[in-house]
Amino acid sequence: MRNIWHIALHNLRLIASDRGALFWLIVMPLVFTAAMGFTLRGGGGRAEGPTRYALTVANLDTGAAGKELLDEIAADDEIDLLPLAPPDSITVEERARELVRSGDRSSVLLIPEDYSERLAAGTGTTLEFMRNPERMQPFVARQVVERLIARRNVEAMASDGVLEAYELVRGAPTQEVAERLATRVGTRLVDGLETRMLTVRSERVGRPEAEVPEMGFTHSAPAMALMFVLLNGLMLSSILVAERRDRTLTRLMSAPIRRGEIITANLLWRFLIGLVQMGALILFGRLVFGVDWGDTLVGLALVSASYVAAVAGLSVLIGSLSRTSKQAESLSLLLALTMCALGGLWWPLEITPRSYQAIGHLIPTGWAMDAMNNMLSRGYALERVIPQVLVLCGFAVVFAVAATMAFRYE
Amino acid sequence: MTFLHIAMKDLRIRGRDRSTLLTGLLLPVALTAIMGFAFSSDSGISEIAVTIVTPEDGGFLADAAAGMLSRHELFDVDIADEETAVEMVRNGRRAAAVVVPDGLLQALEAGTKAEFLVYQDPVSSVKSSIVLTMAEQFTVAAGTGSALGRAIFLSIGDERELTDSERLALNGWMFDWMRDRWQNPLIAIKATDEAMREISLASYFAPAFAVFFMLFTLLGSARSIHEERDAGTYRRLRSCPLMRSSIIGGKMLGTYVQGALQILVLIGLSTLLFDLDWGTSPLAVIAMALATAAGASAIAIFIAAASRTGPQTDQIGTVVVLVMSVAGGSMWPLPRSFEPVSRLTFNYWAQKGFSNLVIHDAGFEGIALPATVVLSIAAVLFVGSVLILRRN
Repeated sequence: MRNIWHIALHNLRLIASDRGALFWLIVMPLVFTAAMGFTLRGGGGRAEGPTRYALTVANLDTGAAGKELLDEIAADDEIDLLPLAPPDSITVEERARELVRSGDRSSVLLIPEDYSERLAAGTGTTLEFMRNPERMQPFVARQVVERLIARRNVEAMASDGVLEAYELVRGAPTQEVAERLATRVGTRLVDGLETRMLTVRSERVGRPEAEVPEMGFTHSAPAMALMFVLLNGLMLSSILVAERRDRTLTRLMSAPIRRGEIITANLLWRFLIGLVQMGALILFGRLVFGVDWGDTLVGLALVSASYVAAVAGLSVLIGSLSRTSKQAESLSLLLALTMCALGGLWWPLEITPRSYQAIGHLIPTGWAMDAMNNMLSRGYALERVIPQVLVLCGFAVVFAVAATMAFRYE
Repeated sequence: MTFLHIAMKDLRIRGRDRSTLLTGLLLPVALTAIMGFAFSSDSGISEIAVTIVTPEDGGFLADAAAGMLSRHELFDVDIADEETAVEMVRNGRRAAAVVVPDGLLQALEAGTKAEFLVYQDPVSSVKSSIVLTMAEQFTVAAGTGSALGRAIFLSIGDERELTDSERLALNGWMFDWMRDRWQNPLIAIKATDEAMREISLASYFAPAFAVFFMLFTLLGSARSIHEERDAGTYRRLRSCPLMRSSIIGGKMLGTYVQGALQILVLIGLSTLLFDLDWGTSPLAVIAMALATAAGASAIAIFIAAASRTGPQTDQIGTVVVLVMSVAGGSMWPLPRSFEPVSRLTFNYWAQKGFSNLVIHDAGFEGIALPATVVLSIAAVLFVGSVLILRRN
């Protein structure tokens, strides 16, 4: 046991004396957490006020209806109206198309020049909605426009419908009755629409909303902590290769230290570094990004420890299998990045196919992220993250056994 | 021409290094494949598990709500009681549960309010948001239809109270009439996608990863400046009848050619493996690739020249590459509000050039500005590197 501590402490001292290590252990994960959290914040969660989306509108209509629609769009809470000035040499349609294709505008709504005329005549008209398929914004902007024109469509339907309905049950109305019906149906419809009779209330199942961090950081804080613990942990595999190359391991062979002790020491110091890093990232996540890591501190500690143990085992395994430091680093990078992508650390697994999710659960990252989601978002208690902890411990044992079998002095 | 010999020697060394091939070619191809798999056409968004809780007296509207979701290809719908539904959402087995209110029809007939309740799994935030949106669309449509029906009924009733037979006749007529009119509205919207071509996420990530990993592998190549000095080979080169500019030129050329080969091979592989269409102008693609390689190799050499040791090159280089890649959108697409910051990075301009080719098929016109920016970065950093290397 004493030998194990000696070797482990020696390696810990070497790592601690490396100023660059601190940067990789703490600073870079925080930078990535901030960047990813910022990117994902648009995806949901609590917001201070309604999110506004830019919509460019080209009104070719000179009548009252076109202006009215433009005013309604401008008055909407969700839309920032960007008017399109008439260009000099090309048509407005061409200019609009050019703006969307170049990416300068996400979407442009074209109100046709005969819009008012056709509405007055009761004949149909079509608004063209040009959108850049690379952006998400047009989907929301289109929904807003559809909501606004839906009201006009219903108003038109009401004035036609009341006459058709009357004719169905009482025969064709006189001019006087038709006028009365049209006026009444309009008034009643406005009253009916203003009182929204059907509403939807949503309720999050799990932790109370006030306790859950903003959408972006709920994913990015645990994901980036798991990613950098994995990345740094696997990169440490090259140290084992360097020790073999520099004959440090051969020298240890001549010392009264057993093979098992060397391997255990290598697992131990990697485990301790990973644990310190994970703890620091959890702490910084709380202090810097306000992340609440769930209701079970013991659960969080167990998930972190079992994940770090699996990473330490894999790191020693890679170090045992690689012939050169470069080979170990390349293999570590390949494994770390693919495991991050497959395990749902770069994007939530919920948006991937079921087969992808199944593959994600063949590796530790998928299980660790599941456990984090269960604690942070669903508010699971300790006993409900035990299955994930056991699976992660299983990975740790398998990797450690494989590393022991592959370990060599020279 | 001695610099050509030095460049060729560096290229041969790199070509033999399997780890360079692993990081430079295998990794970007593997990650692009994973991205393609993750966001393939049969992606998880098409499998939204949702439970509907319908009351016994919900009537046709409750059936319509359940039918709207179950007929939609996005949803995998089942019916359960509220307690079971909430438990399934809590366990993560359902993304959401929709509870249709009791006495829905009676409420609508009486003109009183009714409320749908959507239970959302916070972990399935994307899927449950889609369910919520669908529920909102349904209530808006049903509420509007109901308001319209009531307005018509009441307006006719104002003339003379409706008899039971009239009411029955109108009820039968109203539903079909509304459905017909909703399908042929007075004002319709026609949406057009203003990109020249069909795009996939691979169209975004193939160039993004190519640029990201090229920067990484070129850093490894550029650090050979320090490796040569440490191994003493640089001193041996200096003892030969070689000008210092030939050695520097050879190093730069070797790094540049490696970058150019890497990105061209990645373009070829993504075409073959992922059927990615890089546009109708292969010459523009090659031009953008060569310009990008120039920019990336200049960045790598500048970092190596400005560093004192090989490990320092690795450390500074990795930080610079990662920060530029995150800020430039190589890791994941960034919101538009972040674009002013992105524009300050090499990655943004390199990707902009490629996306103009892949997504918009914009040819040479589309790469003019991005290639100019990338080549300007290359020119400034190459000159800076030469000055530093000559001084040292």
